[in-house]
Amino acid sequence: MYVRTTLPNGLRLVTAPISHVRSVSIAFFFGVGSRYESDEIAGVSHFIEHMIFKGSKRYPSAQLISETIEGVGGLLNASTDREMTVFTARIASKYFEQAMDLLADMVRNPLFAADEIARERRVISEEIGMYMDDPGSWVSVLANELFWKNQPLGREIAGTRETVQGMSATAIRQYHARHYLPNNLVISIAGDVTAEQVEDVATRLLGDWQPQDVPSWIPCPPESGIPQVHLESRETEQTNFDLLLLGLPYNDPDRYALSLLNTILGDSMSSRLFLEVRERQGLAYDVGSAPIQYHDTGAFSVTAGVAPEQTAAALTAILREVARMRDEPVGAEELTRAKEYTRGRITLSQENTGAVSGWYGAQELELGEIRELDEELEHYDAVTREDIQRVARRMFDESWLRLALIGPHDDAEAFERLLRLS
Amino acid sequence: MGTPETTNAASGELAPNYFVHTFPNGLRMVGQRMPSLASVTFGVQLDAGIRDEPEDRLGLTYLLSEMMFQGTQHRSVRQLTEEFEALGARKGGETAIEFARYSAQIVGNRLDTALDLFADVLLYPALPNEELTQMRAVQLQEIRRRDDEPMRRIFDLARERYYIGSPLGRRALGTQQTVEAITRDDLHAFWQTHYHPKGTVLSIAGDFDWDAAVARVGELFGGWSGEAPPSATALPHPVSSVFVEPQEGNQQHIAMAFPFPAYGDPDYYAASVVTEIFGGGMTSRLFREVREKRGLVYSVAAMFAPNGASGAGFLYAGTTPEKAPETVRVMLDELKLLRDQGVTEDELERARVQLKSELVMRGESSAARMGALLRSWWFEGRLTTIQELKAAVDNVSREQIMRLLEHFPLTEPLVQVAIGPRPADELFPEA
Repeated sequence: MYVRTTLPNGLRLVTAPISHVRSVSIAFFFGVGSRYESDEIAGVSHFIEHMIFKGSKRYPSAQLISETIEGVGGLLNASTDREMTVFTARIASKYFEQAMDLLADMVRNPLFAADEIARERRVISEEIGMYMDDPGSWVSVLANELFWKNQPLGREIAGTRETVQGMSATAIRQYHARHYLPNNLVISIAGDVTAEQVEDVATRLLGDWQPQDVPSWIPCPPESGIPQVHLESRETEQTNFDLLLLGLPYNDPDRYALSLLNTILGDSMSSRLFLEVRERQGLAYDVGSAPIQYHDTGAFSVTAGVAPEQTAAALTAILREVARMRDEPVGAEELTRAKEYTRGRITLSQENTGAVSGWYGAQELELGEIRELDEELEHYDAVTREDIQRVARRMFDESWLRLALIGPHDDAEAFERLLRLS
Repeated sequence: MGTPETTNAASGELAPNYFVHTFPNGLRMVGQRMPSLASVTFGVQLDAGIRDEPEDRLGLTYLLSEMMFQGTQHRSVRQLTEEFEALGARKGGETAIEFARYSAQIVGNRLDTALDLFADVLLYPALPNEELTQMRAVQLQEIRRRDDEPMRRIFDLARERYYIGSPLGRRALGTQQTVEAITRDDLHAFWQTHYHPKGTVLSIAGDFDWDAAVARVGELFGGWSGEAPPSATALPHPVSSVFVEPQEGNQQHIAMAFPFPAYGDPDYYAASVVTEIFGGGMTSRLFREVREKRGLVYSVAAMFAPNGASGAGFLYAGTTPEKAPETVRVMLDELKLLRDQGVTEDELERARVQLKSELVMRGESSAARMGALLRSWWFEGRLTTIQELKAAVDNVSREQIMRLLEHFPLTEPLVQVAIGPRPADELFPEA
């Protein structure tokens, strides 16, 4: 159960009271991320997320910020994605107002001190270096670059070491002023708290924040064509690859069918990819699929880490399973199991205040509306075998195949020849 | 075989909603009822850890924990997987140095079905040869994956050097050679020798009826018998050393290890508090000195790995090769400062509040409580309530911390390891 309120300045509040806990999870969702950035300032959203922890008007140092929250046993975290930047806190409910006071000042009045910016450039460069050294995560960066070629959605969220080094204080301040607005913010709160409390505190802290026009995201339509491969030769023990196909936008009516399709194909221990590629053929330790959803577009990703000499076999087996989703309806029992699995997972996740605040906040930000758990489950239950095949047909077309690999190979064309869906 | 007995709040020995029961075959069941939750988590912990693996079959317990879910004498692998899936269960097997654990989280009304499946898995595993071939191949893949991830390998390396000469330093996955050598007979023999009710603990937390659960577990596991042989506990004798694994890349990964208390040690809580102050959250000394003040790293942290036999403290930092020597120097300076001067009253108070608050927040999850009950029963032979834990944290004083640091002087012995382009003499000139 939740209560939704909008303050006069456009700030949206979602409260989900949970009676049996003594903690509160707070999430500030801003509708800003790397797809709002031009090339020169690639990574600025992520940079700002880091800088917000470095000091604000009433909490002028990183030390004061962390002591304020950790001194009362709370946890503070943040993440930047392509369409949203999220700040979260989890805290004992008696410190709720204190945590709100801190978060509100952090996001609204960050100092962006020059010496802190200089130091944070180094920290973020370290972070990028860490991703680059992890082939399993870097290969997805390469795949997205290929799928959304030269578009903001295709860029690594943190930007490049070059853009990070060149990020000016002015660019940071301007970007913050344009995007961090009350009418671009959803505050979602779950736990031992009431909607009245939330509205009172939010009004007092953020009610006088003036709204402005919110810049819109940069459209990023992917282009279909012939299958494409990006191979990065690296002397690794395993070959990692990420195969992208077309997906669906976040608000697509077929999103429930897509989610179940994903469960059946590659998101559980009895999924087809897991059974076929891992259990039956022992080709990979981890293989799995995931939908990637944005406002206007989406992709469908299949990733695997395999022995280099088995890369072609694994890829072929995966493509066969992808084609089979498109060409044959899934089994009736298979679908029932996927629904049970989804029901179980969603129900279990509702016990965690952090997951609940994330669930409501993300829905409000991405869809502008919220569905209750029961309603969501009804939508899942209504999905038919035909729905799933229809969705597979919408997405799984050869012209969308984009493959990135990192491993000890030198012949990209050999992989290109394998990219067939029949 | 002992006499069956149940202890609960009514008998005056346990706090309300906490339970303990011993079955005639020695199986112990512990529980905490959390009636406001919708879920139940249960876990079965066996005295069958990595340290019990035969020397030439390293990686066996990891492979066994996967193979246990590959079908039973009553269910094919496919049936078993599908039945678990239909439960919507989060389930898995976990391999640790000192024990094996199988656990599942389900919605409360599925408990009976889930227990039924677990009894079948644990008591009647099929360990089929066809699946073994695949699972072995999968584990070999996992070894390669580990080798590609320096952030993961650095901890293996630190533990290996720290626990040198003891099975406590083994790598969970084993090596290519030892894993390739594992046969079905090896798995079956290990299961037969080590998987027994006496010494095994079943922990359950969440929304369930204790009496009904005891009855059900009795029916399902009552016919199980035997006792595992005691584990050889060759205690480690860590000595100071440095070791660098050369590797090209954007980062130099650095880890340090030093002796720290084991579970049950009177200084255990003081050690938890010190770890929090030194390298816990964003207020910690390491985070502030290494990341905030100098911008040397993205990740830096201190971890406390108590274990039953012998504990250890670990530090980690990932930095660019150019900044690596400076990072090491700052970490060492901070270790020495802590060793010589202890902590301030402010730091102590903040860490107390942090740890207590974590306890309360984790106390809201059935999975966390199931694990906590297992841990306290396994290592201390009793169930510790959240209130007792909070009191123990409150009782940690600066004097106790100074005493802890005399027993465990952080830098002596100190194991220092790294993975990356810089050689040992440049990274660790003091060693």
